[in-house]
Amino acid sequence: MKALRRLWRLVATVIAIAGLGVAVLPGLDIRLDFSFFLPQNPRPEHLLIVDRLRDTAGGIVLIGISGDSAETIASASDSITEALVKSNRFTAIANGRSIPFDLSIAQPLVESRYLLTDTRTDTFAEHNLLTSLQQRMTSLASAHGWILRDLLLRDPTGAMEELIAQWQVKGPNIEHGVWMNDDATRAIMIGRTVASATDLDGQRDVADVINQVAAKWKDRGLIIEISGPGILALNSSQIIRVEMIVLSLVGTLMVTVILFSAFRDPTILVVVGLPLVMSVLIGAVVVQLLFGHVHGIALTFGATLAGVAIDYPLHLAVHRHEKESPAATAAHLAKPLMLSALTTIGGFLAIAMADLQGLAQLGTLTAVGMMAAYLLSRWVMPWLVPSGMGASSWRGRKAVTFVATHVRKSRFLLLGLLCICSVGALMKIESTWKNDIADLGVLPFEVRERDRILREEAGVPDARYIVIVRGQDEEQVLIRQEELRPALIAAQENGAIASFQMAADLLPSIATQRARQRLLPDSPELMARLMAPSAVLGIDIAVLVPFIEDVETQRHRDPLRARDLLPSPLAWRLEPFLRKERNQVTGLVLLGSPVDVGAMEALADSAGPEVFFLDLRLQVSRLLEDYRRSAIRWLVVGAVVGFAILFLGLRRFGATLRAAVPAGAAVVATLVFLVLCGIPLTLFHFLGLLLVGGIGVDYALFFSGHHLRYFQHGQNLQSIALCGASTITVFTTLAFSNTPVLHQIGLTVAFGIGCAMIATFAFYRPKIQVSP
Amino acid sequence: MDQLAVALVAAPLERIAFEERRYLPGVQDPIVLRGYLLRSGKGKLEKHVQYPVVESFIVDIDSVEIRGVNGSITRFNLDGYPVLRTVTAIFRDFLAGSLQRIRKDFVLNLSGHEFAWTLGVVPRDAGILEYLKDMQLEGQGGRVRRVTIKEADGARTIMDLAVSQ
Repeated sequence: MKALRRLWRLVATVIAIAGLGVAVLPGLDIRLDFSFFLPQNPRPEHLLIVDRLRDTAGGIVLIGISGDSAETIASASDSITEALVKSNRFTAIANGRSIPFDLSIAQPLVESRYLLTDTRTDTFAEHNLLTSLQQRMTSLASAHGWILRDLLLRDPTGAMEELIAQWQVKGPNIEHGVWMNDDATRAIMIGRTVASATDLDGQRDVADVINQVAAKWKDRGLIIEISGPGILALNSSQIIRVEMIVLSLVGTLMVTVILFSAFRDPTILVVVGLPLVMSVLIGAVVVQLLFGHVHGIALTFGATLAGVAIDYPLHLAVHRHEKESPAATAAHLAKPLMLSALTTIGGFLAIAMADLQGLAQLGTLTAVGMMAAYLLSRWVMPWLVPSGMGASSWRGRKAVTFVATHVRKSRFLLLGLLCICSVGALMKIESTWKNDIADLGVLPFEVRERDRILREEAGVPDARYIVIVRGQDEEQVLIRQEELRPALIAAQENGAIASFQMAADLLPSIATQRARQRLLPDSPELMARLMAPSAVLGIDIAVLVPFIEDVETQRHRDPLRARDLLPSPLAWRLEPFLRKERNQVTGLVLLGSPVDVGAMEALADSAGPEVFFLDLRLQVSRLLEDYRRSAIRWLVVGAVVGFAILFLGLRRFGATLRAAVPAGAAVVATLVFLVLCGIPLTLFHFLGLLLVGGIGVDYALFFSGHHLRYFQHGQNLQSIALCGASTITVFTTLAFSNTPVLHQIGLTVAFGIGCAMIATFAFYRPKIQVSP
Repeated sequence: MDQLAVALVAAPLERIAFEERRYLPGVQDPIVLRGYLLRSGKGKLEKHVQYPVVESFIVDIDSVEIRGVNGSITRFNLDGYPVLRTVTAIFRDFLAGSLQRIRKDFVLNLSGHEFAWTLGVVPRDAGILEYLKDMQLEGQGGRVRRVTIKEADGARTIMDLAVSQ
């Protein structure tokens, strides 16, 4: 009857966990951007970095077509472009074929053309009007000119041609009429999706449509590659999802084998799984409530809680006596488990106080998750454990005792080896820190490489060098950019920069537009000036009346502002150059490489406090360097807090040292291993080390402190061996991940736990073995 | 009419030199272009201008490609350019001898004799008449010697054709 009741409890628990998962997971706002690495209160340049890394022109899709002759891939490019235009998934898509200027789209520009182009005092002088009209008559001989003949005679000064040249997006090389890379092996297409880059469902739909359209070309052996911020975000989520499923399944299967061989009871899986799953879910919910979103990296790291959460129920199951109720065993284990949990929680709570968003989330999620794991193991698990469950018949006990005894005998040898290796590692450690943002992401190398190549070939500026111009509003920024223009032109002429692009080139300030308005002649004056040129060229003055009327209208029209371009596609041409943030507007001047950094810094310095030069790659590197310093500081704080909690719990310095030293030795050994293997260190290795420290303390506690004498040493050894084997299995599986973050954490923790076990065995003292 | 159709089909696919004069209302002197035409078997028509600008104008079934001297290639659908679409369709059908197809949308008026014929083409559809007034083709046997296009806004294009040496 009791067994049946317990079975029902188990079933109810599984249903409750599944229900909680279904209820909680869709409500989580999971983000995968660079914000993880930002301070809580980022400076404007930090936001700018995030913006650039996220790609301000979000929704951009890059498509590469290769695998056949240039002619064939050009045909594929045309065919795919045509199909994608019809798909209605893109606001714009281009493959390099220039398209005739669409007057309906360009209407706002046409209506303000003399305010937007470089209208000078002599633009409407008689001699210039004659030259301009002659040029227009020549243009009429071209196919374009003939098609746009109404416009040509309406615009004899050629303002529209100037505008078209300014507003058209520049692309890579043209081969067979379409954009191609330098050796004409890959055709490039650039599109902008209707769905935003963060709309993963929309991006999935876009990817499906592209794949569908490209299917017939793929069948012919062509290679179609897709990239862009939205597609990468989609890839990230898909990769994480697939890896999590595959790795979880493999890890679960292996842990199941280990646990089943130890307990011969399938219910152990539910008993162990409960704190494991619940701790991650509860941690994620608390982070969502506190921060408004959960960063993917914090959540991924949260999954490593499994390594710790699995230990508590295992300790309980292994230490069970046949004649003792599960609740009584839990009560006996409460103190060491609580101390172990509090040590790790203290460490991660200190990290939760960090002023770095991602680190704070990660610390909170881990601390809350571990607290939940402990409380569930202490209070809920005994309620679920079958009375007959125990691991007393475990066959590996002898082997573990043998290993532990020999490790202890060799402890001085091991210590000496660690010291020697540490010296070697110390000499290498500074050069192994990696500040490359890509290595902190979740995307595999090949995906990142594909994006980099496509981006480079498409000529999408990586915008490494930028001059930032700040102002209170759009007008102030545009005026400052116009003031900066002569210096930029001089820099270009001197070779300090190859080129520059900025908002003021496309949209002059209101002040400039007003100044140009004042230069426009009134109708009678313009007609008088046109009389002689038109007579020379045999043009009836009546043909030019629409031009005269347009000039008159533009003399009185309101200057064009960025908002007037909405919702036309012209607005997104301007968008990457102007950024509105809180009460400020930032204008970006994108500089073409090569760039003389010193000269541009001097130029920005002399232009006033609202203008500054940014080397984005350097800034990202500096930001990550700051992050590293800050993260290590908080990790040290976390370790100190953990040690303090341990001391408060054990009340004796000697016992505290006995618990802390094996953990510390495991952390040092792991760090030495990583450094000597030449593995570039990232933040996640260090976070993994903190986890190793926490778990190491958990193991060591079973061999120190008076209260532990209640249990047999054999049981302690068995408990640690089981916990260690399960944790190492989980993290070794993780180390096989292609996702950098998961790989780094997996490798560090798997190796670290192995070291923690060895270190614990080295401090193993059989003489104090006391039976209850 | 049938005799003309047969003669047109029998005409060889050759390179034809042209001189085109574009008259704009209100502009005294015409704009003069020179170059050559090429016709491919697949109904593709190529117009290569050599003076006063250098560019190629290649008309396919429903698209046009303009190749500039600087290597720029513009390709666009003819849907947005009704005059161009109508004129190129007539010209292509005419050279292919498909007079029956032209007759569906246009009134054809053939006059003269085998060695000096004139074919008047007037749109039946009021929509087309809004931009194309009429078109006239003059020729000898299976060869077209002159094409005259009159647009609704008063613009007029005369193209004289001769077999290139």
